[in-house]
Amino acid sequence: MASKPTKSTVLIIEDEHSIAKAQELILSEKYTVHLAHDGLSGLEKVKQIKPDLVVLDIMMPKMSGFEVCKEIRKEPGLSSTKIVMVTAKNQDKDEALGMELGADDYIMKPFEPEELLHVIHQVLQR
Amino acid sequence: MSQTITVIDVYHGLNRFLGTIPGELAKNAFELILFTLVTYMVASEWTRSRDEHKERLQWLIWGFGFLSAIKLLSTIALSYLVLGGLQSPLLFSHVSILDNVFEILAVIMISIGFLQPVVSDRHPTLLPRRRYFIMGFILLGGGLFLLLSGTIKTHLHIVELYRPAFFEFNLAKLLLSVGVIFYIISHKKAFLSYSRYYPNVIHALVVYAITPILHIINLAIYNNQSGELLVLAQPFPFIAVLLFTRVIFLQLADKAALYDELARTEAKYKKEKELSDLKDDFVSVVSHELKTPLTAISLWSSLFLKNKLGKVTKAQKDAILIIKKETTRLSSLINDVLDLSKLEKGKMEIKPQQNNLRTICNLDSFRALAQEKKITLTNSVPEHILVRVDAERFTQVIYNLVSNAIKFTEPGGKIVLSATQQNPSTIITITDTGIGIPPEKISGIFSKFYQVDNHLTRKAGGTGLGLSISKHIVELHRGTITLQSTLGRGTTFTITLPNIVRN
Repeated sequence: MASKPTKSTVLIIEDEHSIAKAQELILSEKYTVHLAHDGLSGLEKVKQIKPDLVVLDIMMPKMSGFEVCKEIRKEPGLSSTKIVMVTAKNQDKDEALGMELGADDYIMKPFEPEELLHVIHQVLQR
Repeated sequence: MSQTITVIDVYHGLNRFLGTIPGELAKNAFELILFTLVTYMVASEWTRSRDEHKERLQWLIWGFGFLSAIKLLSTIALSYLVLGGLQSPLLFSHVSILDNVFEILAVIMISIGFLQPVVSDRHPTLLPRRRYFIMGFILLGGGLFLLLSGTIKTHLHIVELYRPAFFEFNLAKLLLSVGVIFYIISHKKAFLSYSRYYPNVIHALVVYAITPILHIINLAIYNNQSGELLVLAQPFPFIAVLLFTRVIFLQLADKAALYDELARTEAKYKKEKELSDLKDDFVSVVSHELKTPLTAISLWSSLFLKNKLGKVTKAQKDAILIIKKETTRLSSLINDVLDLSKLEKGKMEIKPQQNNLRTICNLDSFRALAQEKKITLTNSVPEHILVRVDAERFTQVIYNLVSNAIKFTEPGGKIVLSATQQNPSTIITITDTGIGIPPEKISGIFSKFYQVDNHLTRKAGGTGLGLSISKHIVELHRGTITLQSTLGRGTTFTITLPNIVRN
């Protein structure tokens, strides 16, 4: 019996519901998508469901994307989880900081659906 | 009991020694060293002070300078006497007279130095009449008696080898001290707000006044015969000067402590400001707030277009394409505004690296547009030129200039991008055969929101920020950007980049 290859799990941590839903719609065809709307609950979900990749917005209330990234990287059990950060390119150092904290790649707002799919596909291949 | 007597004996012995010529020499030499040190201390503080404090210190420098000078004179004169040279009591008496005169002048100057900040007009609460009265009293008292003493001096031929106890001098000193003390007390509040050490100044003056009082008593009651009183009166002027010096020293120490405190507070403030700036930096906040809804609009338009929300008709597709185009336009406007904001605040960092100029000046993305407008676009930048530039930002500049050229050139026109590398700079030119810029508009062309108003700009839109941003970026690279234009014939923009750009 041929088994269908399981879809990778992607967790989207984004506080703007409109963007989160759009991202879910874009990705749900190829991946199993979960959502979280702030850093704290996002971190909980990461530990809970252990997704293959996290799409992480930077500017979030309570806990910024940078902090979530740091926390994920602290967990030994999550070392294989990939992280893609979503930046609005506020400072030129946003990307550098993200990479330093352990993100695998980043994508800049505003982006096209293809760009998101492309980056996620690339990162999951690594 | 016997111990106490011994102490008093020692004190007397010391004082008697100080009454002799070698003793006098020792005392003067010691005072010379002290006064010179204090003068130096105040003078070096003077060089480091701001102008408003300099005047006060100047009085102190003069005062202590006078004291140093007379002590030097005394030391020299007494050395002659001690070393057995001149046996001239007259020299000694002349020096003693000078000593007293200089001392009075020094005390006046030091008093003015300490009183100065309150005496000057910075404290308008002082009643002018009282101020002038007291100051006049002091100066009058001192002056009168100096005059009197000068007259009397000429009638004196022989002077005791002990410190001369001229009644006039001593009265002048007493009146001076008391006058200044009264002055300070009558303006206690003003003085205390200036420095908390003013009570110490009063103490110093009180101590200083003891000697003249004792000398006056000696003269009036004992007819200048009491050696005891003379000897007793010895140390007080010296102690008074030590107390004055202490006040100066305390004020300087306070000043140093304040500077330290200020430096620490400044450092703390800077650090906190940086942290707070990071949090609500205009660029960060605006960037996020503006780009977030833009992202939402863009994403949902794309999803619409891809039939993810149901099949779209051609009319719907065209409408959505317009929405997407406007979103793109809005996005580049936001980027322009944010870039300019960063540049104007000096917050844009460029990372210059060695780059091939031809690669940076890649015009492929303009080919389609140029073809559409039937404009000939030529890239004649040589292959081999290397420049130290921030690739992303410098490309932004080139793109801005080329897109302007395309915007303002009519169909059939030509645009040429070329460069030469010379020493010490590399020169890049963008020449078009477009409509040109009127001469009166040329000077303002790089200012923000500036647009030469004509049918082409109105059609093409734009923020008017592109040239302003380009100029900032070129200048961040330590380069210059200039233009030449002839109305109806064309425009040439020239960028000059120094070959060495320091980070």
